[in-house]
Amino acid sequence: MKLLRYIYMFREFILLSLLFITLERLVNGRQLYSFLNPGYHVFVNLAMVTVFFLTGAALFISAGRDLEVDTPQGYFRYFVFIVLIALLNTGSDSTTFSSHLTEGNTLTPDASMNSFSAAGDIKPGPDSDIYNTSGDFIEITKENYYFIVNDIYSAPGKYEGKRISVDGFVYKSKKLKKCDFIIARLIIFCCAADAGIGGFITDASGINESFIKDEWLRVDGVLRLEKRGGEKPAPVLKLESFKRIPADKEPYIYPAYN
Amino acid sequence: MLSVYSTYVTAIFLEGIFFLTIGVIISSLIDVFVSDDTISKIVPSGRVTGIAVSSLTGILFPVCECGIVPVVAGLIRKGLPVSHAVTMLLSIPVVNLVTFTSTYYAFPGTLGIAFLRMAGGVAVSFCLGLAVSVFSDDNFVLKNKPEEKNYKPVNRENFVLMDHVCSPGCSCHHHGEDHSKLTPVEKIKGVLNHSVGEFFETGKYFIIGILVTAAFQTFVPKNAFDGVSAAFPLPELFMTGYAYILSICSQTDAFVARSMSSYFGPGALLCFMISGAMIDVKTTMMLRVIFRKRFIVLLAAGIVISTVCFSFLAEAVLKIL
Repeated sequence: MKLLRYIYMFREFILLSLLFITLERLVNGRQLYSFLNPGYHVFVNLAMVTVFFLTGAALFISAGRDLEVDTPQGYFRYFVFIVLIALLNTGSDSTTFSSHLTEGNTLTPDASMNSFSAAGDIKPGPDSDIYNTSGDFIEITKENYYFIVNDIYSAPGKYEGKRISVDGFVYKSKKLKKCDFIIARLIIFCCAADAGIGGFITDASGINESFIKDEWLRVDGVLRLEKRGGEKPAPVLKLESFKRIPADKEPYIYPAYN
Repeated sequence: MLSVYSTYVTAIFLEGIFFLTIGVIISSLIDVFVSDDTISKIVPSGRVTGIAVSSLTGILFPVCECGIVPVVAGLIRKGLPVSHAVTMLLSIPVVNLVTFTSTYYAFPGTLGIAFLRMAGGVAVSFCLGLAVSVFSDDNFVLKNKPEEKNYKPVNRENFVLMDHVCSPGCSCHHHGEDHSKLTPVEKIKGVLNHSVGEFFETGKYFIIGILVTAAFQTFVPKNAFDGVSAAFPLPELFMTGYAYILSICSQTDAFVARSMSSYFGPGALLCFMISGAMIDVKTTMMLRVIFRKRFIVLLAAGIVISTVCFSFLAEAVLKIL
């Protein structure tokens, strides 16, 4: 019983220590990428400083308590923190999360286009070669994905007739033609709570192959502008060849970071 | 499903934890180091002027909704009028440069939406602050009022042992006490004690808010907004409710709003961005640290009504422009 009294006496310190360890594990285990745009990681690092400060303060307060006087009360708030810490340590499975995002989501090409045109002024990074779109062939990678795809949706005419290679997962919508799918990626603007899907409509009518939802592909095709339900012609990738690839372990695209 | 649920919980927690912790620390510093006189000197004496100034405070203090609740709680304890506090609480997450910049980036090529969002933040917070000032009193609004009968100054001997977090005006609180009489060591002890206590009290509601929001995100289908394209005010009301459930940070919600612009007009998108920044599941829970339940319900209703009215006017302005 005395041990339990001591645990209760140091309750805030114990919970804050567990919270700090959990944050440290998430930061050093490189798991933050599954939850947060890297542009916001600085706030988690700062949170580690503030939680460390609170942990020290809690130790100071707990050490000053009188074991006999400090009677247990107000369990609920501590229970809520225990539940939180347990959930933070449950981990994340990006494949399951990706499936959850695509389930019941009837994304249209228009909505997809809007997701990307939300980029604003994304500037090319230091390695300018991967942002070069002047040639007839453009390889879209994770690094240049947001910049190039945003540019394609902003000025589609510039890219008409160009050959494009891009990786992504198969996303199907009832609003698309039977032979169409979207070669999609998950986008995290800030955190997983605002994650969404974006990508190109891919016209696979010339390929005698059926594609399964969520399978990962490297597709190669020519970009065309076609009417697909929206008011304006949308960029459509006319599929010429494809390769099945393993799912990306870090499947997210982070706008304003990549 | 547990994996998806814990992903949402972790993401929303990581997004807000720094702002919550820095908020409780700032609140504690205000509590111990800022005297009541200072607040009364800073706040403009006129009702309308004071509320108007409060509605623009966010330009200097870019704090999101998670951080502002404990800070405002501390200011109320120091004697900030409740109407001013409510105005600041509503306006700061919307009317600040970070939110303005992210809104501009989300809607590139035009400043209209970003400016209308700021204008909406000022207008809605000003009107509701004024309504609180005219129609309600502290007894109706505050969970614990400063003039409690059993008010007693802090026990300086046991300051560090005080295992209780003070909500605005609570009876144990040292509201009115002259902190200049405390020694520097006592002041530091006060900050430490108050920070931890307030973290667990406010954090409790923060976490409950996260758990509820994550449940919505996990179990409500993503296509819930398909087909909601009816005439005013249905899309506006829908987007207000959607923002409430999603509980996205005010500094990034513009990107989510932009991705839904093929379904909704600018009025409904403004509703999403203005009301969502002012109140959502997470902040509703956190507001319980300060306010009575009945006031929170009325405040939420006021936000919905005034935001929808503003969006109607904003859409008319956009048509003229």
